[in-house]
Amino acid sequence: MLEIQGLSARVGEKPILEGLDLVVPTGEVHAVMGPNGSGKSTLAKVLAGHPSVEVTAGTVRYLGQDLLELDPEERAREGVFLAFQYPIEIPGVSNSTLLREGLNAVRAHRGEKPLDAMDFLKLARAHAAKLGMDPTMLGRSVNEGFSGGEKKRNEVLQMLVLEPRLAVLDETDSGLDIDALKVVASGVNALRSPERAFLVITHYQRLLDHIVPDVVHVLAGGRIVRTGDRSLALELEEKGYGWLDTTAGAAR
Amino acid sequence: MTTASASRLEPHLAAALAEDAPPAGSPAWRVDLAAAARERLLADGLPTRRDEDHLYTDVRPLGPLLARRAGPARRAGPMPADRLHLSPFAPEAVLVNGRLDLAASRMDAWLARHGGAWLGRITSLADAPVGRALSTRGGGWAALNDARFVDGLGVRLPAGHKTAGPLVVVHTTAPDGIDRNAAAFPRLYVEAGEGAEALLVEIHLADEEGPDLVDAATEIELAPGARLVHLRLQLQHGASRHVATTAARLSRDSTYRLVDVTFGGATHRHEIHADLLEAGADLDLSGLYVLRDTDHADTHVTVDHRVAHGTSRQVVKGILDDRARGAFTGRVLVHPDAQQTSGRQAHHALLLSEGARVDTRPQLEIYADDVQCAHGATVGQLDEEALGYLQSRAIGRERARALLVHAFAHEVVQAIGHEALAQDVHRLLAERLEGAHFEDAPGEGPAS
Repeated sequence: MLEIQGLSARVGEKPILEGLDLVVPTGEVHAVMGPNGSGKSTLAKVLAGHPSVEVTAGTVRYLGQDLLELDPEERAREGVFLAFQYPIEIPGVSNSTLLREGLNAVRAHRGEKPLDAMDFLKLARAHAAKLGMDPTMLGRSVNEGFSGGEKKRNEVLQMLVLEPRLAVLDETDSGLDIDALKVVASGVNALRSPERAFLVITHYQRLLDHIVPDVVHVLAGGRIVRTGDRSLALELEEKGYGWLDTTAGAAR
Repeated sequence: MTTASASRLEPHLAAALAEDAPPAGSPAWRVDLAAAARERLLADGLPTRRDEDHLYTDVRPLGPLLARRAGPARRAGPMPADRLHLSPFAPEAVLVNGRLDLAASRMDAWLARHGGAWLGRITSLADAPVGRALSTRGGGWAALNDARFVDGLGVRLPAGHKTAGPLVVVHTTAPDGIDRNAAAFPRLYVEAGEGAEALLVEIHLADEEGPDLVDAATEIELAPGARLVHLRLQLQHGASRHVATTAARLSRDSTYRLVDVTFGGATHRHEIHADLLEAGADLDLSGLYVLRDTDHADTHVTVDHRVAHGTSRQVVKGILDDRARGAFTGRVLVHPDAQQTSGRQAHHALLLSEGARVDTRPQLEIYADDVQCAHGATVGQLDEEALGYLQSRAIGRERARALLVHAFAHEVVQAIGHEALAQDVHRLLAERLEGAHFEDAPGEGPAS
């Protein structure tokens, strides 16, 4: 589903990703772990098409297309979703407006009819309930006055409504208590299917107790330095990232 | 030193004032009001940019339009209001070129539904203090309306009266068979008795073949405990010129909520005056102006806090595209006896293009020592982070921009407190935005 080859990217003048290779086949859940500053969020932003990141080399193919050629909204319509690490607040735009406009843009792209207000509301309420969210938050402005945990749930709500093919979760566990973490994980797990793939970016392995990955990658120094199964995440938890920095340095 | 701009207006003004006095049979107050206004205009002239309060609006192009008052409409066409598709309301009163159009109005039906209330030709009022609210701070444009209005609409709500639904008044223009170099003088007088409550909708439209200048005046008298919500919509076409004065007198514990919405125009100048005369008076002004091309809108607000325990809030927002120009002056006067006054004011402008410009001038004049007054102003562009977030949720960039512009306007629109009318204003805004060509600043776009 996703094939990244030799990806280099910078933020401003600063190179962050330096020749990153990563393949995520359809139907799998891959975790990307790594120390702070290793480039995890930059990778997520490249995939979503965030304007703050400039790609300097490499290719990203998504379902056979050149992902980097697509505008951010085209990526979303093609089924790429990024749950942001720091979701912003948008006063005056209600959650339900955001969800409905987004969903109907995706449906139009697929050649489907837009959902009317009633059907949409039913759908949005059902997903909100799954995440333990009060239905009144649909009428509130996007993330305005939300706690950190509420913002993360709201990201997952958007994911459930938009039903992406490839979901990238950028540190969705940060700022969540254990109950919220379980709710968020169950939302993600409900969406797992042979047609979808997930890229779960996290600093800690505790999220991976609840969203069990098929493959774990370690990102350090702007490239993938180790790839393994779930036990790699447990090993990282035990030993920390310190031993990897040496490995990454040696690999250069 | 010569006063070039003044001298260009004065011959036109002199010609205007040489026209007929109020017709025979006019009530005494009408004759007196016109005479006093003429005297004042001959002494002071009309404002020019040399007047500090008129700094941002060049009135010289208005000169040739002043000389002739628009005559009665020569053509009966479709009502411009029909094109508005305002939610389920038909206008109760329609005035064309400042003259009440009885055929297009439905005043009898309204009167039948509102026993005890009065609605009719302003010159039929024998004893109303017409002109009083405007006289305190009204400038040259109000005086010109005083001197020249033909007829207008009067509304009287008795004590305790509550209107059922909005009272919609439409002012429009139409060709008078001569030319467009003429001015219309719409007039509206509203009096709410003790404890009366009403929602007044005042709409200004203009026919492209009609007179080019509208000089409108509206006055509001609120008795103790009265509550008036006043939605004023200026929807004249882009080449038209609109100068207006709205003045309100607020008695004890009365509330005046004005939602002032302006969509463009070659020259738009609106002077708003609220006089908080007794304790507990409450003014709530929400303003929105939406400009494009070379539109020009200048809002000038004066609030007089004359006694203790008054509150005023002003939130005025501007959305400017292309080379449009906006100005906001907000003057809050807290008189020496007006202790415990709360006066708040904010002006926020959203610039959608680099050529748009806005001027903000807050003026707090406080002569009491125990008051809470604050003002704030911002000028900004659409938030790139917010645009990016909406795009990441599959929403196209143009649509994302429109959503953010509506979000910016939302606070003002919801102040109407009437869902259907709020939706109408959002729809008018959407129609206006469809024609907008958003500029992309350099450096935007996807990462690749």
